[in-house]
Amino acid sequence: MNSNTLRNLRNLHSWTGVLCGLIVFVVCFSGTIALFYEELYQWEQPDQRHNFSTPQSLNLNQRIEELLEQYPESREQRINVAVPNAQRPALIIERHDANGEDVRHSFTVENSKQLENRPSAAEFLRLWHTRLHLPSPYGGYTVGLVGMIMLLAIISGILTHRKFFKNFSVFRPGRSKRLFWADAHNVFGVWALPFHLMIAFSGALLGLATLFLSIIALVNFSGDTQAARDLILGSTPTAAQQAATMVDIDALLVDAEQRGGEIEFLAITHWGNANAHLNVFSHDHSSFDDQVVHRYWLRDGSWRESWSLGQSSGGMVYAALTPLHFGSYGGMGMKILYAFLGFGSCFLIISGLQLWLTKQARPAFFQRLVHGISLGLTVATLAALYGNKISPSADNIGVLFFGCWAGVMALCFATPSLRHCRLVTLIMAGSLCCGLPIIDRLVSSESFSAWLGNIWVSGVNAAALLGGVALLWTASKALKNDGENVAWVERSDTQTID
Amino acid sequence: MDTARSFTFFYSISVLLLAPVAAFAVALSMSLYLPISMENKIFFSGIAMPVLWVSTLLWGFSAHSTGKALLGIFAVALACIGSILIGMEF
Repeated sequence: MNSNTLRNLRNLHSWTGVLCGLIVFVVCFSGTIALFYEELYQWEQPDQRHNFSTPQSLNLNQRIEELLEQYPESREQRINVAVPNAQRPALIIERHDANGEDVRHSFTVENSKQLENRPSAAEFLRLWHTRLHLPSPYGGYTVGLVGMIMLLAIISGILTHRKFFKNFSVFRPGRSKRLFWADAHNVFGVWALPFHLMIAFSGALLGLATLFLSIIALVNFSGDTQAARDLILGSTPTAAQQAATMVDIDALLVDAEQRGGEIEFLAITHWGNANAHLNVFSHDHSSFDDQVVHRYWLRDGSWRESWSLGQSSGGMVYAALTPLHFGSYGGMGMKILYAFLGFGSCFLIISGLQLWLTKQARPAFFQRLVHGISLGLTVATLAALYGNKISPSADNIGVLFFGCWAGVMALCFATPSLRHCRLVTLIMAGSLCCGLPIIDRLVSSESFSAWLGNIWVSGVNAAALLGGVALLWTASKALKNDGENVAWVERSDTQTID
Repeated sequence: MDTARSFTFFYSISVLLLAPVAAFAVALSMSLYLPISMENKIFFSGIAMPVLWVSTLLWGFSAHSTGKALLGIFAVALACIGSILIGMEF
């Protein structure tokens, strides 16, 4: 590779990072938290914490009928059902209102009692990661483009690295600030390179899948996207003119279970119609291309087909992308590894930006912006989790999240010393993190031993405590070390930045 | 803004706009002509799109001769769009 090409690639790596690094950071950070979407369920819903035993019957027909009597506008829409499991011991029925918005109803498994759902911060963060709360499908496209930019930055970074293997072990924290950030950037980039590449590529593809499908349909199906979708996912029958009595879904679930896989999710279309049918999504968490859909007619309970994406080789590759991206194929250990690697990706981006900032004396604005976005997002995420405990409305979670983020941004730009601002935000984030188990205990009504014995709740609380201690330790290091060799402390704040 | 800077800006915008067109055109002509099942065509051309998109951007932005690179991307896009139109029997 000649020197001009190398220089151009280095410029490309720098500019993609500088221009888009912060949005990539936002998507990566929220994605790392959203990994634990399922695990956060019991922590967020204290009323729904109890020992789970597989129910004999879900009484789904009765519950759906009662809901549709109450909300007749949802009759024509698709109804989704999340089957209870150990992580989420409540039955959730999701209907769509007249505006097409999702509305969730939770029921106890034992006595069909409808439960009050607290607003979910995990759901808020999941939507923030998958579509940045933008309208569909543009939010997905934006996140997909972020994945593309990340992929471009990673590949240009690999091509410009001449001493690839040397960077595996070179880390010199005691030298200069610039060397610290350069080594940190290289070590984090090289060690987790396959993860960064996989997450960027799968993210780009998952975000832009519907756009790609529309373009492919334009050429291969004369623009008929539905025909392309039907070929991949199977066709959905349209509603018939006549009504029909629905068969017992519980009996169909027994049949689906015998056909294989662990039932996770049901989708019902045209309830009460002669063409009503049930899709049973079964899953085996130990492999990639494992989702099988069993389809049944609800008018007579006859099995229609069993289908999986892995039936074609292309489908098998595509089916592997979702579990690969969300780390849902290897149990809790894999998710924890993904969390470390995900935070590693965040640190990679921040270290890259810090490297750019320390290369020359950049205007203080950029330094403050990087701190405001990164530490602000950390505080805002914690605020959203507090919102789940203290707020009765889902809208308030958004207000708390964006309000806290804006507050930290304002603090970063208003304080005379960036060092003090960083200390304040680190202490704030650490204290909020350590306070999560306390506020969870305050709002939960169960006994202390039951609270401590709940593995899902204790896991979240322990992780929050560990995170909080790590943040406070970082703050204390920043407070103590004013020596010139410690990178956390910018002794020249007042000279070069402020 | 001097001439060199405006040229770089103009060149960057051209590459950014042309790269997805060329990438999608290559993937679509592949989906029309590859002798595989329609299901596989959809999946593989979908998977090829981001790969080709990133490759084209890398090609465009790392090129020593910007004129040649722009012409190359444009020629590939044009050739593939032509092959798509022929394949669709326009």
